[in-house]
Amino acid sequence: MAKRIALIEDDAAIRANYADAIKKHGYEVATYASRPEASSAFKVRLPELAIIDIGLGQEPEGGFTLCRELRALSATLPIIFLTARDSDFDIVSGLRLGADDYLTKDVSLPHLLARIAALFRRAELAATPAAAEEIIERGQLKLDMKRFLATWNDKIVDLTLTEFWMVHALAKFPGHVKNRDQLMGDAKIVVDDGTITSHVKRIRKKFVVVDDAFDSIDTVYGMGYRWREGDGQR
Amino acid sequence: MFSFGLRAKLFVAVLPVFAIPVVGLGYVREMEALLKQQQEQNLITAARTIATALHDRPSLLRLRPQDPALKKDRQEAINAFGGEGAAAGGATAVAQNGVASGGAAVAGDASVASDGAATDAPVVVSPITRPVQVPMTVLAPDPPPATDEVSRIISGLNRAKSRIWVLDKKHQLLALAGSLKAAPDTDKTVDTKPAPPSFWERAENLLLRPLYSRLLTLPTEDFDDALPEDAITNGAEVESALSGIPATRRRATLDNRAVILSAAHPIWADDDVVAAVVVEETTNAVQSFTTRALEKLITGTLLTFLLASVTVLAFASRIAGRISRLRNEAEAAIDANGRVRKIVAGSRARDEIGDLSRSYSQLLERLAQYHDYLEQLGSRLSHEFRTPIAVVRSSLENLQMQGLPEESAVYVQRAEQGISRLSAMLSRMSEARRIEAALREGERVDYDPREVVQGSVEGYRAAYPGSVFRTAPDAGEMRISGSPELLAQGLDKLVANAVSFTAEGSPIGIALRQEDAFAVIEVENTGPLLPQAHSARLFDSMVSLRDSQAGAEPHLGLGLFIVRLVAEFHNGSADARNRPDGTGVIMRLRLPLKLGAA
Repeated sequence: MAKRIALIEDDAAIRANYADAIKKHGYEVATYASRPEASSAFKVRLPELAIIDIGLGQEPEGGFTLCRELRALSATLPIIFLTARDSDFDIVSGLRLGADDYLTKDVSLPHLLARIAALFRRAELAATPAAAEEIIERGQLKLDMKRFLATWNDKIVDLTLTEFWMVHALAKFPGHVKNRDQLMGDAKIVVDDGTITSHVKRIRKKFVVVDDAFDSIDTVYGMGYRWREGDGQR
Repeated sequence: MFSFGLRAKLFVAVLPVFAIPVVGLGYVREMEALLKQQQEQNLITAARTIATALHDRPSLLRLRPQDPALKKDRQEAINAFGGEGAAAGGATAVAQNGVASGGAAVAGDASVASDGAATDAPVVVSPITRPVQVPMTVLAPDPPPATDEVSRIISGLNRAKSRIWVLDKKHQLLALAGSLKAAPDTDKTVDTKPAPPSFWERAENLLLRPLYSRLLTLPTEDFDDALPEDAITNGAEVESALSGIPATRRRATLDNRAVILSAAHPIWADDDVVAAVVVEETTNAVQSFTTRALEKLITGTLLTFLLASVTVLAFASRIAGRISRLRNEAEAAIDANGRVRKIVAGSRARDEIGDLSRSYSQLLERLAQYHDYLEQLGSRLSHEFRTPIAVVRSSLENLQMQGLPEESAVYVQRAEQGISRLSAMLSRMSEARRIEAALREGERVDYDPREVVQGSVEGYRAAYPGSVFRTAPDAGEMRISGSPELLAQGLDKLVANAVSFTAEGSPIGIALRQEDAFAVIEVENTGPLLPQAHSARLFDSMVSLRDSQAGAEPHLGLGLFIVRLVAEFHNGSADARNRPDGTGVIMRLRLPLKLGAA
């Protein structure tokens, strides 16, 4: 049975375009133009993934409210914010509400679909034990490529999908500098340099939450970033 | 600045106060003239009264008065005159023709008419002017009672501080009464206990008295009140009175210390003038009145001027102070980077300066709004355009997924390229805003800018293979406070800017050095020079000085704005100038070093 995706977006053209593309990839799509409409539908039946715009018609923050409601109904339901807003403040707010990813409308449809697929995979495999060959280990870092789960010293680092892909891109070849374009490609996003910088900043913070001494992501000024192998080199 | 500012101008405006004494002086003069006239009238009236009392009583005039007062006065007059009068003794001066030998009483004095032919009145008056010539033999015995009559009458009619004398047609003094000076004892009783001077009087005495004594002369009571012969014999008023017409005359005392006003009136017997009565007074009363008035006028004027000047100066200082404060704030309201601050000076005052301040504030507020609008235009545009772009992009992507024929696919691909460029532009527009947000978060660390610059240069060599980067020799260790990521971002913008202006193969210089307490980063490139007029605005939002070239990457004028933001975050500054040799441009970041760092 096809997965059911809820798409909440107030712009009819975008809604239809996205719905068409998603449907074409074998998902079932329920579209809603406003928050009340979506809320009442969710009370009847929860979707298996939700893509939410933040500004919904008359409610500039309607998406945030909806995300909170959804999170209250289900702790595991994957939620993606897809919005025209790209300020750090909005991104942090959105992620803090429990969204799994935050995308601006610059994202291409293939990138969006890749995320949808990845999030479904993560949700499915959450319960099953990880197969050894799917795990990349770099010192204290473990990346479970199946479930998109990152751990540091066996503690889970709560990364979004985009962030996980960025960490993966860096940690796959420690010591190699990844420039911003490469990171974008690997993380399946298209954003500007500044956004990459704030992504990296957020990733560092998340690692610091589980380990104060974390400093494995190096900034190579003017070039990009690099995963530093091992500990205590400095 | 204030060489001839408001203060001086308003001070000059006060000067017309000095017109007051001029006007006042005229007024006082007028008063003085009036008072003098009045005095003359009074004297004439007095003379007439006395004359009236003596009219048609020729018998009274026959005898020469002999009262002690007259004697005394005459004595004084004599003393004053010749100084030898003392020798003549008490009664010397008086000789009565009738009582004496009857012939020539006084020898050789033309003024003393001894020939009785001229007058039937056998009156002889002492020859005051020639006392020494009066022989002792002509000493008068006790006067007959009739002579006292005139003295009594004139004494009775006498006024304070006036002197009355009566003389006959031969200019012979018949009677004399009163004194030009106030009686000394009465003066004393009045003045014995003067009120202690008040503060103001003392201040006035101290400060102004010297001035007054220079400018004005207070009439003195210390004058020579002698009755000169000349006054008796040649006085115009006497002549006039003796010819039947009342007259007045003014003359100075012999020592020139006072002016004596005299009025003469004829005494008639039937239709003949038999004698004249002369009433004399000093003009001291009028003069002292005038002097007092002038003193008061000057004092008043000075006080008024002082008060007006102080008030005007205080007022002018306040106004000037407020205006210059407003000016200073207005000057500082827009800083070198065009940021607008609010004006507070006088914004609550309810006068014109307050109005000025408020309209300044309004003006600046509008300017600030406009400025904000410009700065946010980019990010707003980017936000508003993002949705329609998403529509176009998703439509194109859906189209592609449908498996288009070859020829259609080309167009879709071109459309996608176009929309990507548009999207990139919009991202750049919102970049400045995002950096501003990052700056607000304001995470600062101390770092060595050398690492950033060195790392970045490596990166640029890889990123711009067509360009040659030259670096300056390594500077010593330095620490600045800020964000290395942001500095790298700012440097990226500077280098991108330099690369875009430089012909391929030309070197781009990147130097980091320490200057005083600043870390200075310079990015130098050959290429077109900056127009001088706009170099200060170069680092403003949405300011681009490039010639637009078809097909080239669009430039929104945000790159250098970001550089400025980064510099400001480091409490530093960014500027641009042309190379001295005119071959290119130098962009410079000046970032203050961390204090206390090694």
